[in-house]
Amino acid sequence: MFSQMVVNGLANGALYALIALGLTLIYGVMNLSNFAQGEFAMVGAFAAYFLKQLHMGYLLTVILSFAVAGVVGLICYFLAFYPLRRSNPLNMMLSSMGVSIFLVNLSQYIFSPTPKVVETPFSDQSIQILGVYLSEQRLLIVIVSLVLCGLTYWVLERSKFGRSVRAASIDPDTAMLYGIPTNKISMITFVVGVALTGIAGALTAPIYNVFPTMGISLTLKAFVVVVLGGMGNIVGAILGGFIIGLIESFSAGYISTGFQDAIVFTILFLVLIFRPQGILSKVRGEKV
Amino acid sequence: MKRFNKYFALLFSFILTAAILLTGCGAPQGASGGSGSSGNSSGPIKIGLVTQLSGGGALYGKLMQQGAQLAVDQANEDGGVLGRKIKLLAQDDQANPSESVKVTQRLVSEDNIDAWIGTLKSSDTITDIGITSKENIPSFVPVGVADNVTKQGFDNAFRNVANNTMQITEMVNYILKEQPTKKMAIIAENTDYGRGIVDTFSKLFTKGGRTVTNKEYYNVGTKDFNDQLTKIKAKNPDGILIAGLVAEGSLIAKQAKSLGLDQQLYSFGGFMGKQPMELGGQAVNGLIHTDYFVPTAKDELTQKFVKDFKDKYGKIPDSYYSAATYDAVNLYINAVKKAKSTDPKKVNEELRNLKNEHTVMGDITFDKEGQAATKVWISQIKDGKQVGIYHAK
Repeated sequence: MFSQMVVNGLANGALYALIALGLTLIYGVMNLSNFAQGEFAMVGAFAAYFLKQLHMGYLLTVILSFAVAGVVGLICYFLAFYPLRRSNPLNMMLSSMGVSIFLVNLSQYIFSPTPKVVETPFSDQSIQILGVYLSEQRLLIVIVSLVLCGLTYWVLERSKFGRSVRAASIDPDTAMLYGIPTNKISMITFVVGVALTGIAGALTAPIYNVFPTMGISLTLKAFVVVVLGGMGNIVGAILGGFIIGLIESFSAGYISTGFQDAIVFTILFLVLIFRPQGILSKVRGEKV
Repeated sequence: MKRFNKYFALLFSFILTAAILLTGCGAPQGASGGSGSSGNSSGPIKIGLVTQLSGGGALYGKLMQQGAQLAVDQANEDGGVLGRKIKLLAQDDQANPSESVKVTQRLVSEDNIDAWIGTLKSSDTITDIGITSKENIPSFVPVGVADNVTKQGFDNAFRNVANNTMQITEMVNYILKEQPTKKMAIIAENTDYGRGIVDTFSKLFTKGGRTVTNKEYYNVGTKDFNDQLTKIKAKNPDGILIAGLVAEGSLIAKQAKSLGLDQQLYSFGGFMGKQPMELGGQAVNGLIHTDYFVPTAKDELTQKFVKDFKDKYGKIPDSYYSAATYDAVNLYINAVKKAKSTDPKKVNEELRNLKNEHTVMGDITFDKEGQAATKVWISQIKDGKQVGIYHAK
């Protein structure tokens, strides 16, 4: 049971890390607590569902769902966030709540609230090693998530674009003086941040089904992860994702499944009280 | 004339308020005597239906509406009742408690309904019947199955479907009699419904000499059940009981399979209809659950209902929402015929005196709380179809 719990925790953790990665990127650059983050997972999942109806290969639908979530994200950026870029961050946060409610209601209206099933070539099969089961779909989530987290980290640390993003995040005004187009940077960061979450939605669709309210619990989990890792801290988000996944798995296994969520959110409180800067702040002080 | 109406309405509402204040909720005869139901004995007989017709549960609400409309149309084709036509007033409550109370209040005070039917949610049903009980309006509960609906002391509430405890009892009886499952793991939603099932089922199951290995909980809306299922797997039970609805239940079935759990699955009313197969696919094959209505049952009335429904709406009524609401309308119509009046007091009296009234959902006799003693079916999902496998007499 112990090894199965570790595997369960890491598999869920990979998903949390991917969603939290998008959330923390956006926070780092735009100073926006995006409460609509989970809804982009929903957008990605619906994209996968409809593209699958067109008899597309599953992996292709996953890649395209990145694009669909990105386009929806771009529209939302210009309608809901760009006009508020100079105002109090609180306004943008409220605006993101509006975006969340709007996307949920719109998809309820268009697609109906009935859950939809996405078939994949992997969903029903499991890999079994020494009595530990992991479905192929979950393995795919872990692999894709690790690749995307690594890629994002590499781009931010090593590329010229990544340096501009970091500059814009540390001090947007000075960055602008040095000729870095901060508006463009924040637009790209937002679109990439929500598109990454869109991929997470498309990846989980075969396991969790697709329905309009699916993103809400993901947003909450992602916030716990991001707070744990430090707002805007990329490595913190990735590590935090795995930590939360493992805590969930062990608290369910050794304490009670009924209190699983309560335990996770208690940890959120404790972190906010004792280490509001996140657990990794000493290791890496910079944002993004 | 207009002026007169205004004064009359004012006076009338004053009398009504005074009557309610003076007599309290328990003795509404004074109010009902002067209410609209006896005043409009020439127009159509009005049946109010309150259910969700938009949003999440609209699918089920519309099934209720279709069942009720079918019964109403059939009665009207036969010339109506007591020489009067019947009219169905369907109202959308959005499964929202305050909206439900609002539309019920409107049906009672503005439309002067003669009978009330509702809703999808037991909790809303209770508050709504709190309103109809003030006018003693015969009120039917075809869908909500929480035990406490008929335990509020309402004299005008009649439930023509088995309640939750009844379905759990039937499931336990069936397993003890027909299934070899000795050790059962329960995975339940973390609500009154789920926890209620865990308590009642465990008590009855262990009394029958068998054991419950796990009581695991999940919150409604959860999508990942690996943690719960891993714990269940460690205890190695022979069966898994899902105390929840189909949205989560189908995911539990799927994720259990991919964790290598091949135990017999059991569940309750949430697995009725064709949705479990659509959402769970191969994973729910073989699942055994309680069912209120089996369209293939070899009963003349059931077959007639299924045929009429199919002729009218082009699909088979595959769950109880339509059948139970259809029955509710017919139970009311027959009671009115027997009472030769729509006077609420007389109709309620007739309903209470029913003995084994044959309906689509079984033979109905209401106990003094208004609960019908009907037996649920035990159904199994076999190769993408719902099959009734057991029905206690």
